Amino acid sequence: MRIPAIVSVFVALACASGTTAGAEFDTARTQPPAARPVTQRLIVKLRTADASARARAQSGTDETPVTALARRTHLTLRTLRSITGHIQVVELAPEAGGARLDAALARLRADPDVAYAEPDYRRYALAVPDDPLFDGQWFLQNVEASAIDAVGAWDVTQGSDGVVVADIDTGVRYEHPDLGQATGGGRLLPGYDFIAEDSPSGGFLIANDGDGRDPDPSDPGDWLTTNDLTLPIFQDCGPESDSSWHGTRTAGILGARTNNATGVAGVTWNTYILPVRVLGKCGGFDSDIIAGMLWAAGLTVSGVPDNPYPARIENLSLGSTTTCPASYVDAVEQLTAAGVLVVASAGNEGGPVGTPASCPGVVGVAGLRHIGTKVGFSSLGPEVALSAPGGNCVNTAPGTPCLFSLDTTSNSGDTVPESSIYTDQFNSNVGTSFSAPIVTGIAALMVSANGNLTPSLLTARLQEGTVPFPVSPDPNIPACHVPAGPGDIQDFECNCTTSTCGAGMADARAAVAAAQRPIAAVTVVGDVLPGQDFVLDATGSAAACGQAIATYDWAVISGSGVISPGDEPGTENVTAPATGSFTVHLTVTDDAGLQDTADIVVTPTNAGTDAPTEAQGVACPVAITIELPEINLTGDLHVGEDLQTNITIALSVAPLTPVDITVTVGATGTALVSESATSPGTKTVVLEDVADADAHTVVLQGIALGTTSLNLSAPDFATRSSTVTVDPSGFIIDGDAIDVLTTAANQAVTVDSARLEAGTLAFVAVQPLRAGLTVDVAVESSNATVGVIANSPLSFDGAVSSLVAQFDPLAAGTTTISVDAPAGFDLPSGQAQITATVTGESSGGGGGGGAVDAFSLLAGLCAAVTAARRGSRAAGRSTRY
Amino acid sequence: MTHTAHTRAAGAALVASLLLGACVTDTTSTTPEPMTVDTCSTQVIVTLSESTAPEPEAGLVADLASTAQVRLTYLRSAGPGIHVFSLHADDLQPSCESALDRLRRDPRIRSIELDEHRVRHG
Repeated sequence: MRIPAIVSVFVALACASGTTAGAEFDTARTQPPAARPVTQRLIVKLRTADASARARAQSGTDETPVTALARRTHLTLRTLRSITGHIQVVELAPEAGGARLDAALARLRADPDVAYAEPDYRRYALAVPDDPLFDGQWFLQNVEASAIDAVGAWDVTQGSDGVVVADIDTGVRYEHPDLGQATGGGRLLPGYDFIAEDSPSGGFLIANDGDGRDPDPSDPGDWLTTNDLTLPIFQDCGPESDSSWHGTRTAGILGARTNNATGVAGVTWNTYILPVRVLGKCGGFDSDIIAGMLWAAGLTVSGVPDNPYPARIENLSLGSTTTCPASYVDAVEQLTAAGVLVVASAGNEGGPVGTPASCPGVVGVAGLRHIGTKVGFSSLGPEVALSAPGGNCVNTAPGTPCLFSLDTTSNSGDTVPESSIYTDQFNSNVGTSFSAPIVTGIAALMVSANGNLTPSLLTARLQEGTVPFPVSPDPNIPACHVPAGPGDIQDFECNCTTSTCGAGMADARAAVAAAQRPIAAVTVVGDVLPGQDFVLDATGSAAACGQAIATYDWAVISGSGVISPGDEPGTENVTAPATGSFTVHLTVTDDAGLQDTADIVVTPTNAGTDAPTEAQGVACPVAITIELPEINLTGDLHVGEDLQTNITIALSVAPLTPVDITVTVGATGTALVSESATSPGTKTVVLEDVADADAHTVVLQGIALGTTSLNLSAPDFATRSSTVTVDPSGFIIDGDAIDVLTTAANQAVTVDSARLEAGTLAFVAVQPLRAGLTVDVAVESSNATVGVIANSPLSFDGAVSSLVAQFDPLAAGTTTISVDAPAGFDLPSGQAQITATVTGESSGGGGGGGAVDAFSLLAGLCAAVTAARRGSRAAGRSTRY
Repeated sequence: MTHTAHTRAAGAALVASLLLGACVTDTTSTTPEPMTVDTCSTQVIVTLSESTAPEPEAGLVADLASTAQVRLTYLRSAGPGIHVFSLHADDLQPSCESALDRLRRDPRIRSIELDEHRVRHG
């Protein structure tokens, strides 16, 4: 059963190459491609020869102008029809097609009797896509009763890249050429995998990807073997089955790349799809599904990074036959409050609508046959909002084609992923799972046309845009009935009613038209008191994308009321009745003549309406940009040092092609990206896989004190920046005051390179300079008669962090030994100098020959240490850092 | 099972429960006194009445568990105010229905339900 599907991919790819008959779909459509003369039909206008029979009769010859032309040009031409007497439609012999067409046209145009000769291109309606498998996607067209006429909707909008729909499912195959990553021109955003570890075993058998929640929503496959079915966790999951690639299939329905001369079309062309993986082997659990739903909307789920691409619509082609749990009620309430519409499939049991489609606020979608009757497997009931094609085969014998499959993207792998394919009549795709994304895609088109639509308005206008259910001409088809309970199964075709299949059949064209209407909004200003005036304010009304509100009309349509124009356009003064009530009718009209209305029932103490108080938001969704991952900058960068291991750059999903991420700094005088011999301040990190995050680190060099930015940029990504602060480094003397005899040999004075330690505000940490950097540090004695430094300057580089200066005592007295660092480096007071006291030989006593008295030295050291610490603290208090 | 065998099994389970309890002391796991042998175990989704915190407050969870004579171990978040726990109780019903009923009677719990299994519709 896989072979035809694979064949379909080959066909699709071949068609995309423009070398088969299917390539004629490439000719001028919505976005005229580079015209390729794939036709063998030509339009030829002759200058003098009238080809009509009357003209031939008048000329006294049987040779037609076309046959004469063929003779002169040595082409095999056949007249198809005459447009006028001079303009003929002719067909080249088959062998003249392809690469020879240009030559044939050249020969015709060279003939003196030819005014012009052109290919007779096949033309299409404005928004018919060039995807070669589109012709088989009957449900997107208007050729069957239940087909949604997406073509009609596409003339208005093909979707917005400012709208995100969540595909809450089994995950997706990013590599499918008709889906692809958003950063590579595809439709799939980085999503998330919410499948947690198995309970109670703690393994990952359901997730089947070796881990729990993680940033990669790729579908590893959900096959079940006979051995799997022996495991307790897969109890009741039988029978064994191949991988479904379910999320890839729903994604293709939602928004396969369209008009790309490849494969299939999606309901929406430009909307981004957010994959949220919640189903693994044998499905998934509410806790993961709910978490995925809330995360997809941009709400916080503890332990998971927030979603940077919040969805406006969520598609859930999943469920089971239980009543809606409170946790779903709670989750949907949160989503509705966040402006997110949830669309869910009714179920495939033919029984009552399952969870989550049955939950309040969710748009439940039932499945239709091509003729508009309920498809046998579809569940049904009053919870259904509307219906859409569910796929039906007509043929039931094995090996026969499924005539009304809903063709979409898939994968050929029986277990793990293999080749990208498309479903077709022999690898069919049916189920309410695919009714739901049809409606979700329509809703995405609607939001693209009018971004102000709230979930409740979207639902209302989806229903407004439906087509009434037909009644089957077959008298044996019963009417559907509301299921009496879980055991009342109608797994057969029935005539839909509004109490079983929702408001009607989904219609994309009509739904988008409904979405384009403005939204009437009303606010009551002031207290409503008997006989007192108050104001109705409709200025919160909003028009669809590209439109503006033109007029507000008010009228009393029932009862007896007093109204008059308000002070501002869009407001109306109303006098509350002393008794009884009346209804004020508001009509809002936009500059395209489209309208919305609202009724306000006025009583002596109240003015009530179902209209929103405010409708103005962003009418035209703003295109989202795909962000690079946040820069994880930890640790401190100091002058003269490298920060080597603290910046990692990771992608959540393995890119289809390597992503070249350029790393730059804003001010190279402050910091530099190292390894940049050819382009100082720039480094390119190539990420080919998720695991590359560990393999690529960026090394920064601290050049000078200050603040700059670290920037990541890559094609198709929005630039990501982070602040980089270069902190001070300096040199300190590691030791205490010196007390020596004049006869002592050179005394060691240790000098360390150091950095300002964050938090302590003191130079305490010994750090080597970065490799390749050499800094000469002068060490000086303030009183050269008392002693001198024998080996100044000290030369620091990346190999040493500590050097020894030699103090040579010369005469009794006191001198200060200090370091003098080059520009850019700091000399922390109290840490960059010590006192050296040189005494004559006589002051030593005992010990013979100039040894420092041990007790005196110890006391001196302690005093010096104390002083140094005080100095250090003092330096900290007074420092500018 | 003989009385002795039952006693040994119960004792072993008690020790195991004590060890488990010790291991999860740092989490929001709670163990009501006195320790009993679990006879039902399941995973539940809980929404609390007055909390939308990312994670439940440990003291509250301990008190809820103690009041209902169950053991609740916090597993993960399912969203703002929605939490996933493992539930263990010394109840006769394997489905933990009685334990769920006891917890539902606590006004601090807005809802508690089994973490149900769902499947794709196609």
